[in-house]
Amino acid sequence: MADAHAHDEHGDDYLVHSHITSIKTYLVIFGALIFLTFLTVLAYNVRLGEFNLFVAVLIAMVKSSLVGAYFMHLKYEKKFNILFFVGSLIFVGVFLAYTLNDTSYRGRESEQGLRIDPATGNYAYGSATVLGESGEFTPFPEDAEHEEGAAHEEGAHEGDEGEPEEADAEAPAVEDEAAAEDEAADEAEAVEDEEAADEAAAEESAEEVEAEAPTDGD
Amino acid sequence: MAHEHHGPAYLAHHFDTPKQQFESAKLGMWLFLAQEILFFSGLFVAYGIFRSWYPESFSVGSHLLDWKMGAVNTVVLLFSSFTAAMAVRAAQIGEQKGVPEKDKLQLGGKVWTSRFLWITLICAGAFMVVKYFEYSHKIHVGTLPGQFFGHPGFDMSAPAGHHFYEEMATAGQLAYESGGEAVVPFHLRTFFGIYFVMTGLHGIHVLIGMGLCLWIIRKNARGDFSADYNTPVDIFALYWHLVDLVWIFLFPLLYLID
Repeated sequence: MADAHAHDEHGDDYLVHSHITSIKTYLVIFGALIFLTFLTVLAYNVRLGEFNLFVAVLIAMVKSSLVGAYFMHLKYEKKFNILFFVGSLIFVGVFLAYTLNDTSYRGRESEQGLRIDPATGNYAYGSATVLGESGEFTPFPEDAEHEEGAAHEEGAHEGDEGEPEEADAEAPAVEDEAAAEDEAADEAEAVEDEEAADEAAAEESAEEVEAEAPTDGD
Repeated sequence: MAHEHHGPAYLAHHFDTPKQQFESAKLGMWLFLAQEILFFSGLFVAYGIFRSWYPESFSVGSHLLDWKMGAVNTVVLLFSSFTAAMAVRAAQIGEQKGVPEKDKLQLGGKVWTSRFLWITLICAGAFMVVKYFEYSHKIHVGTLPGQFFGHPGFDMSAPAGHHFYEEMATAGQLAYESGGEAVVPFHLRTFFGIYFVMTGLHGIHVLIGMGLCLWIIRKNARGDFSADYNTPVDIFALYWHLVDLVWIFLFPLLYLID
């Protein structure tokens, strides 16, 4: 290394040989960046609804790619260095996606019908066993409204349609248990009745079932 | 061989070769830039959360910003990025001693490095001047973050003046025009919180960049750089391009919300 221009057996002189970009390339890239800025403002004035944000971010990504590739010389950079820079962008994507996937759905119902507490992101009180640190959950006004509405709807169902269904499912089962031995079972509900009868016979005594029957039926 | 100092003056004693020194510096800088991106990403995620929660506040708040000032600053920063790249190019070319006149590359050498760096510095200053006008207007009116919203000059004892109410009348009008009620969205203060923190942190980066630029100008004037060694110019430009990259996203996300 006494001679700075000595070459080793691989022809490497251990000096830095930068890639020098032409003025024309830089000017073209600068022109493209100005054009894309103009396009961003132009796209803003076109009503695209939800797509406005998408278009704005897409143009910004193209612009930053140009700055990265040419001004920052990423095009001629070592792949190892590109890995760090682009890798960090991938992790930004992960960060953004996972966080927004949590915060964007707070206060809504999950697919399983569980409500998500807007404040904590946990399942809200009443829809699951998860409670806040204090063990209490003060419903937000909109929560209370929602739950009342839901309760009211359920009540309406019980009043209008629930009764005959309940009666079919339980009271006839008890009646049939006694009647089935003497008379032919109802053809349409034969399977359900048999199952109900078996369960009732196995788990509960006949007296208990008969004692419950009048309250359910009436 | 590694224990005696040898090679060019710019080669630090703990490196074997200029190439190794250069590649180490580059690797370190890219790691720093990756960290910068992750650092800013926290704010971009906060932006995403609040915008998805309070879209009407962000829409109204964005209309209270002057997009023309944002657009001017975008062009100024893009141009400064261009001149920073040209400064690196000039430094990479060097003095071209012994190169025939017809083969000489244009705009190379110490003088042009200095000129391009000065233009970069002036652009950065122009950016901060525009930013100053934007900030001072908001501080004067009282469109400030969180609890300071409606308190001009960040003074909690100061009542909002007629400037603030004029601004809020505009905000109500904008909310009405976009199909909502003619009321000022409560979370307008959240939008201005995001605005001040994001542009503020970016502005601090610009100020630091100006200081670095001056430092590089001084080193260049001292004759530290040549075609063989121009790493500091290169590294400074990388930092400056990152500042530009952040603004490329901030401009449409803050100033141009439908």
